[in-house]
Amino acid sequence: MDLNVERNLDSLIKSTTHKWIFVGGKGGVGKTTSSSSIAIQMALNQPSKQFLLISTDPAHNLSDAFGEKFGKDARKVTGMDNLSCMEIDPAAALKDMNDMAISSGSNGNGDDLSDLLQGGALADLTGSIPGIDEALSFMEVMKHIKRQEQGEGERFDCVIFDTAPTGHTLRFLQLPTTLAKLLDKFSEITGKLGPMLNSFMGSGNNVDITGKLNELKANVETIREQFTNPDLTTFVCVCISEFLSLYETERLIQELMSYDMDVNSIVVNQLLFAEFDKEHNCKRCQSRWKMQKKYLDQIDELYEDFHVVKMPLCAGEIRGLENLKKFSQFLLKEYDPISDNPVIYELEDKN
Amino acid sequence: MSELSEAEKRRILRERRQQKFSNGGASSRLNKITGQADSHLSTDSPIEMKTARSRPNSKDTTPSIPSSSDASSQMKTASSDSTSNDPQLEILKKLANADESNESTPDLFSLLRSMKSGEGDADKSTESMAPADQAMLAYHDYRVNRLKYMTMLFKWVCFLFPYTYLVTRNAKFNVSCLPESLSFLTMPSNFFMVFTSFEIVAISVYYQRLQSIEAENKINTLHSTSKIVQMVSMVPEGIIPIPNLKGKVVTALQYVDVLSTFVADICFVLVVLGLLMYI
Repeated sequence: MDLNVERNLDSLIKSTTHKWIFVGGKGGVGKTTSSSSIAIQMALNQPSKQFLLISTDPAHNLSDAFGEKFGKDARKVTGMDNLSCMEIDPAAALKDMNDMAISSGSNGNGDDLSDLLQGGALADLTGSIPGIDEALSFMEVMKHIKRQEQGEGERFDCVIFDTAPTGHTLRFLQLPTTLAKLLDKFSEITGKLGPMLNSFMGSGNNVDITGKLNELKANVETIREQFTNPDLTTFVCVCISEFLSLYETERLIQELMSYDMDVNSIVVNQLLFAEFDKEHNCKRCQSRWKMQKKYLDQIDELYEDFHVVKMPLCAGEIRGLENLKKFSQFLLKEYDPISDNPVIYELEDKN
Repeated sequence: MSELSEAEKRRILRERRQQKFSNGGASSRLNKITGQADSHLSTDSPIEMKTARSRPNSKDTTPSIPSSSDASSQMKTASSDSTSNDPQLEILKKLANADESNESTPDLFSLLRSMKSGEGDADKSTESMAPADQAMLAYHDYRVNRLKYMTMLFKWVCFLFPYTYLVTRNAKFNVSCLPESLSFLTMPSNFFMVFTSFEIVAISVYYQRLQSIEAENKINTLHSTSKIVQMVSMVPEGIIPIPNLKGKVVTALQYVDVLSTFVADICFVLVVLGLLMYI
């Protein structure tokens, strides 16, 4: 029985079932580069499908990675027909909510509340809530699911998330479970006080609170089911070959497994492969590569059933579509330090 | 052998990964990572912590509403896990079980007593016992009573009667046939000291023997047979502002038992003294 795990992401990149791919890890390990590379390779290998790359990191750098500005709405990457990018901007989303509240207030008599909101009070208020970034990212996921169900707007076959550092991401992934529990409690309360709540909160607006809650609950449950389905959702861990990164990766994997999420791929970035690079083999590179090799051995031992992809440290920054395309090829075909060495010096430095 | 499909291969690999992280594997992996770098970072596994958290209230994590058969099986499981975590729930369970077995609805006192009986092995009330337990209790009663009466007989026949006789003889006839030490003991002025010392020794020996019988039979005599203790068992904790009321009552009853033995022996001595006055 052949159960050898390939040291590449070929099966993921060519997967036709996955709808949600999360890319995450410790800060500064190359999450954006890895998620962009995965998205590009998927788009190149499955031209008939539409892909969306979403950055849920409050400190966005997707625009910098591609060298073009992306906003809160999905926009196609220049030079690619089936890959779009967007950066979820909590501040902008909250401003929209604020504006909506003002406009709905001005439809009435223009009371004190709309005067207060003119100063962006709602955005200020909600912007300071811990975890609001994750909540907004989650809302975005819900929006996409709804669109797909209703067949509205642009549809995407697969959404790739360039996530925030580990802590944020775990909070984001916990949201469906937390919300499901919370909504269960709400349902209990509204089941008892439903008619009274409806008459209080929906007076004049004909808002069916119970109906809305049930709808939200169903949506959350759908997301929860999809996130825990290994054929639909997977998580790609990104790390570097250092102790803290390895430790955090292991904890991240264990956290994800405790949420019943599938995780089977690890991208190890910034490897020096110094012994194969005779031309640029400095003492510092040698000792650093020695340290990297020590942790690489441990990674190979610990993650023998995972797709461990070893990516090289390039001479320049990996920015712009062309550089990303060149770099991302090593996700499909394992990097060979001897034959592929020239590629890492070919990458154009955008700076 | 046929070639595995991609989905099948993914499933097997997933199971293999989960296997490696289960049964303490998760924390040993973290230990391995931190051990090699001589680090002091935490090696508590999130998987194991979640399992530990969910174990005591695993019912709460089940999102679906259970069917009636599931509910009853869950109830049974819960009752076997923890006997009486929630007194109100226990009463409801008892009522539900009584309804299932077509028995008449039990009264509140018997429910309270049966709830309390779950607190310890020795607490079991006689009504809720199996026939084998009742036979054991009867056998235990027989052994305790036999010990009690044999001790009493021994004390009265072998010591108290002869001693009282000697004391009265010593006072009446002032015989000098007894050795010096014994004549000191049979002096009427020393009677109470000797009697009290003997009572202390005899009662101690009696209680030691009683404890060994209780240990053999695994039955606490006062808990099982005393009506007062059973009545006190019916009082729920917290209603009366005395903590561990049952324990205090059991201690008091033990003192009463000792005192009654002592009083019975004094009574016997008085009767013997009265009789000897006419001899």
